[in-house]
Amino acid sequence: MSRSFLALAVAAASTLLIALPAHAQNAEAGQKAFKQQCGLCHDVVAGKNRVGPSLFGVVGRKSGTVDGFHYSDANKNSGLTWDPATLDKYLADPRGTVPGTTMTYAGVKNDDQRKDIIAYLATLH
Amino acid sequence: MQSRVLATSALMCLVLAGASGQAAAQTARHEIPQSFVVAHQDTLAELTAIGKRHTRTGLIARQAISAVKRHFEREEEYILPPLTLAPALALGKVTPDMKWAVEMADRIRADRETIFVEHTVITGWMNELAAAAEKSHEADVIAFAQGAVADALNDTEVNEPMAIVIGDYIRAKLGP
Repeated sequence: MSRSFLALAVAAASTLLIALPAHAQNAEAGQKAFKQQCGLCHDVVAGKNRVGPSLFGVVGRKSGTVDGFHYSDANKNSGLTWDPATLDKYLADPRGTVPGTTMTYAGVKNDDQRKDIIAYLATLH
Repeated sequence: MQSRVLATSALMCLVLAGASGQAAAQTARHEIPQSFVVAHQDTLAELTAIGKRHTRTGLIARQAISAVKRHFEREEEYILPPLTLAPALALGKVTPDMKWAVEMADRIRADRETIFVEHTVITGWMNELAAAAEKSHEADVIAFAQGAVADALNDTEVNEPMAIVIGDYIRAKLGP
């Protein structure tokens, strides 16, 4: 095998690795994970609040803005917008991201599962 | 020989003193509102009953019960007792014998993060319980889990802050 061919192969493989995300987000898997991790407290029907607010349309929404849900001051005043990056941070460590939140949940510690859940949430529009 | 007898007697005195101190601490334990007595009894009875099932939910309930009991013990020791004073305080009565609630309120304030973590652990178990119950179509277990997470939010939103407010109010009224 010539050196130039080897270099070409390495370059091609590197390009492929960069092009492919580390974990392809999977909304279907996210829906299952959502049911297990979030479904007890959150509904996905618009306007249907439970212990937690409805998560219909959560991606892109400003924190603390669902009608008819009483938020903690911490959540209301966080100034966050739930874009995927912010959601990822919050879901990994709710209390660390919004100190004083009343969401009694330790967080989704699995990175892939978190990304899947966010992919699922993004479909709720 | 005599010194050994003396040492034993001294040890006995110490043990007895310790025991009486413990007894004093136990008698100093304050009551909690009756509504919480009933709520705790019902929750534990229901979780125990689920734990007897030969299903995945039974297994999860058996695992969850120690976390729930530990949290209830903490609540009964110093989180809920100040709430027994609320009716009297609402009538404008503040008396020196209420001062015990000040110390409890300070303890709740100091332990808030620990208490919150206990809630998250219980919520984690309830998530697991509800997910298993959905697969096995045990609607009563899902309802139980939903009630338990609502209780956790109620503690965080209302009961714990209210117990702190009661302690602070009594301190303000009675002075240091």
